[in-house]
Amino acid sequence: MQLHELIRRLLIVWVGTAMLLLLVSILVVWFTGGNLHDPAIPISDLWGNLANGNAQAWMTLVLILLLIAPAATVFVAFIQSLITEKRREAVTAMIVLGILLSSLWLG
Amino acid sequence: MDLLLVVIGLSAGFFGALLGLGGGMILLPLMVLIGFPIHEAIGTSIVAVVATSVVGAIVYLQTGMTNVRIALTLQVLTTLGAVSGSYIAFVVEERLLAYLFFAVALFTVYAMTKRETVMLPPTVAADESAAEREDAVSPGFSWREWAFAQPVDRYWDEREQQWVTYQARRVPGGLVVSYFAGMLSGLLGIGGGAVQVPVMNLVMGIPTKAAVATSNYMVGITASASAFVYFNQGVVRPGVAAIVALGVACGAQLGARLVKRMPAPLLRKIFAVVILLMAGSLIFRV
Repeated sequence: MQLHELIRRLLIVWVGTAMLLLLVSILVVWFTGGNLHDPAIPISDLWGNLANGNAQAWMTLVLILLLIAPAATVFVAFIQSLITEKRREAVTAMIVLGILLSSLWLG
Repeated sequence: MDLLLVVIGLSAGFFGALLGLGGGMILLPLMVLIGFPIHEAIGTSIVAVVATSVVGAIVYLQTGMTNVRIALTLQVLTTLGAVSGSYIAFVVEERLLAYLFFAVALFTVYAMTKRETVMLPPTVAADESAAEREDAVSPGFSWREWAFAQPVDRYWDEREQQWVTYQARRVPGGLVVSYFAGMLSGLLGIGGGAVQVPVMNLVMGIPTKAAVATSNYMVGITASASAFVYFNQGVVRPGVAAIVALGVACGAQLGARLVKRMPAPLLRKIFAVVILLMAGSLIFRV
């Protein structure tokens, strides 16, 4: 399968799921009387809040899921270049992926 | 307030699609006008830009016009620019951000109203067989080749009913400008396509349609890098960003479907004034 098509299919599933989950989490917060204007939960505290069933934490997780969709496409490009032995593209994708991941963890 | 955010998101997505903008240009001033601090508005705007870009990319990827290779090459410096721009946004004065936004709005409006002259037709027409020869290029890696030579690519132009073959040139120049486009995106919460598309077209010789499609794909990666920084700095409220992102994505879909039925040149002129007024009002609000 061509890279274009691979990325397109990935985005359809990924973004479709993220958008649906975002809608559900907004509705859950709305109907349970929560406040959508609450500040973000730091990523370091996210897991504990998720385990406690905090709706805000779940919304944060879904939002991160949406935000990493472009990074996922770069990862797919990286894997495909490795398989097809296109080193130039693999190196480029690896650098971009590295910057994206460092901005996620160190930002 | 929540419903107001839905309306703002829908409007930014709808009019952004009609005008060929990412939505950030409309979203940021509107959010500041309803009382959000500028950094929160930028953080929310950048999340919305990711949403519009990934939804748009699905459509563009299907056309085969998106040049993923070029996108990833330019993305190395665009992403770096976005991350550095996001950090700089927290140390510069808010008023400076507002002035910069106004300057970018001026350029965007100029590019939008003069689209016919800014977006030139393809400048490189390599022979079709070259695109096939590209597959035979050595898969080895050299930095020199990475920075200076890009393989030939092509796409099927549905309107012209022909293959358009091209080869990106002046990649180092494109890389430098990409860094600044990324920085603007990180600083102001916009996509940066208004800068990226003319550069890819005029400097690198990439045909307009391929430049628009490739830029759309790039904007999502750039914006997600900035969004992570804003997220980690605690200025993105997930609930607000979620509502606006959904609104923008839905509005953009609606706008994209109606764009052919609307008097585009007239709309562009009207909104050129509106965008400049909103950008100008930002200076007085912060």
